[in-house]
Amino acid sequence: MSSESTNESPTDADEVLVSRAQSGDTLAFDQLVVRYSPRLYGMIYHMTSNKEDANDLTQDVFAKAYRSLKRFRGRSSFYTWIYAIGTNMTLNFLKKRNRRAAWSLDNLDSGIQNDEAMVDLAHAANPRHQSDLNELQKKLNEAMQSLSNVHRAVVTMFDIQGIPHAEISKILKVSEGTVRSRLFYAHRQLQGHLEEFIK
Amino acid sequence: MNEPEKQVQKLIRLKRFEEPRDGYFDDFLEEFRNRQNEGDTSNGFLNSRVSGGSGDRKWFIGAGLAYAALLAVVLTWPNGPEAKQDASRQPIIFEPKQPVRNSVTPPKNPISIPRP
Repeated sequence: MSSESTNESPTDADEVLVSRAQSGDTLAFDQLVVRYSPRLYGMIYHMTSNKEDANDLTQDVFAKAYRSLKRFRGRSSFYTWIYAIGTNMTLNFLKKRNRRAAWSLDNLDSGIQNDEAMVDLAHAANPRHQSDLNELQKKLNEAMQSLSNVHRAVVTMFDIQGIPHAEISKILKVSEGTVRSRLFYAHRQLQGHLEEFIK
Repeated sequence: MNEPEKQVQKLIRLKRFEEPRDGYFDDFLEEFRNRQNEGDTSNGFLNSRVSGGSGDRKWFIGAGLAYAALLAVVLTWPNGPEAKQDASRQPIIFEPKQPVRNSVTPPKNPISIPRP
């Protein structure tokens, strides 16, 4: 997953925007922020389960990327590069937060229970439990938080964001085999936490 | 992938519908520009909240007090006129004690015992 390049004109391609940004074009970098902030924010949000943390961290990730842009040589895609920055910063943040033992689960998103797509999917996933989306979401958050940071990272990227194994291995700088084994282990753990919704 | 694992995946995928409010990312870009203009990004979130806040301040205050105490000890350690006076004193010499003689050593003039 190099970028959302299917609908891009050549002048909007990541490489062009990066090159312009490296020459000091801040508007070009803004376009990269617009392009990648939703997915980056999503990854960080699912890793931290906290909106404020996710917002501030995503801001910091783009700020760091902007400062380091001169050193970006294009060996990987911009997407992989900024995702790697985001993942590293989030993992470091979580280490510090865990040491302080002060994480708090975010309030459940208001309105998600009425989200048509969410209801349909929940029904498809398990019709017996569709009535209790609130409980499901709470359990999902708890299950996710029960994972170690690195396991949560692969689940977030693969299961929630649909990033392929190969791309995750580049982002995390581990082998594909490691990504797969972490996913396997994480799924086993999640099964235990979500048992009541599976049977 | 077995069936329970597929079920888990389906459930976890529901989380992709947790999205921020409408217009959030417009504000995000605005906030990013403001932060860049203010130039405060290097001291952003990680420094201010995670590692920091009151916790760090306490450490700094504690370390400062400890340093001040250490400095006070160093400055008040015998170093002034008293110290000079002390230096003029004769050094104390510890002389080794005389070895204790054996109390049963024979006297130089042995007592003669008259014979009956």
